[in-house]
Amino acid sequence: MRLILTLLSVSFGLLYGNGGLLKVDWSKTVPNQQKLQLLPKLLKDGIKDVRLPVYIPKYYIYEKNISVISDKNFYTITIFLDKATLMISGDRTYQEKITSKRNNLITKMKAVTNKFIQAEGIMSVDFHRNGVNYSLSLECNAPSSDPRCTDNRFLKRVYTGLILVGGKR
Amino acid sequence: MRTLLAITILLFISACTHNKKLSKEEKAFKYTPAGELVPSNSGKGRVGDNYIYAPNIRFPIEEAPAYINSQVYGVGGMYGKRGRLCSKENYQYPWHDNYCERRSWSMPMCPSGKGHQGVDIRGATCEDKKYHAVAVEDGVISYIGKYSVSLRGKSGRTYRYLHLDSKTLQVRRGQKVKRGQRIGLVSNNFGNTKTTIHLHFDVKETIVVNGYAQKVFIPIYSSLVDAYKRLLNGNP
Repeated sequence: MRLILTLLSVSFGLLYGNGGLLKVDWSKTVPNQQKLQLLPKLLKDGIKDVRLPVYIPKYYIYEKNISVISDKNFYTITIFLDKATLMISGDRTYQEKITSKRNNLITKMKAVTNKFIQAEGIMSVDFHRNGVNYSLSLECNAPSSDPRCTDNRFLKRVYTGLILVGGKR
Repeated sequence: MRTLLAITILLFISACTHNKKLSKEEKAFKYTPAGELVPSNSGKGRVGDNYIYAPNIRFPIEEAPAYINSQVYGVGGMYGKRGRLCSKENYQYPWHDNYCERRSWSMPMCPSGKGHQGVDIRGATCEDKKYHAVAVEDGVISYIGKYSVSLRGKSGRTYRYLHLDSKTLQVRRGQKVKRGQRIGLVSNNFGNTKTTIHLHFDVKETIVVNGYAQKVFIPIYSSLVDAYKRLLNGNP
């Protein structure tokens, strides 16, 4: 019975899946071509197939001690700082589309974005730009004493210094 | 065509009439409903929201039993009953949801607008670095920090595992993993300080509400109850 139910639910999921791709708004994106040519190969190669605007903090644009994980719908760039890791991630997928039928969720969901929070010792901000979602976070080796993780000023500075470095239309 | 139809009908009837006996472990498993936080002064959960946001995920700890309950309000926790963190009370059913448990930080889906963004899970016993955290779905390890590991699932959800022992991680950044594959050992790693021995597990996904897309930590308790039941009946 369970097998049949699972098969049925998988089939329904495939047919009527609630997820999809967000529409990217490219109209306000102007990459700085001069800077793009100088990007480290690791970064350039890592983001070449990403189909959403790719942002990275301008302070680390030429940093070579980074990691880039991506596919066409998302990217995560990790920058290894002294005793901390900085991460920026962009994503154009969505998993749920809420209709008025699920009022419970709508009424209980409070719009919070661009708010810097320190949760589990990790300073982070989620934001919506160009129609898609981004997360920026900082994880410190000493989460309770490193000022970069106890105070949001460092991450705010990084956030305001984000620049567009790529993305395939 | 007729044969196929007949086989399908027979299969369906046989499945409907088959009454599977519950195992001892399945019978023992008890949990309180999603959103009902314990103790009641530990915050306001999403009472009545039993929706399975992450359907068909694997339970993030390899083997049962495991216990979902509060680290902060449990025995020996900062605001919990006095006692040892390894008290038996912390290692028994029923499970208690602790998503939206009282915290100082903003959380869009919590009724108060603030709260715990995931759930805390203890292994079978209070032993450090003994229980394996595993991938809940196929995906890629997108991030590894000092005390956190993120798995980007094929579904597009991001699953975050906190407090795994960093020295014994079994994955590296960019590694593709299969559902059920070992990621690391549950420990008390919290950077250069320590926390209780547990796995903090949270899940981020993008929800579109009235045309506006927001990336949020979703209520994951019901999905974990569902996953745990499958683990107990041998079909994780």
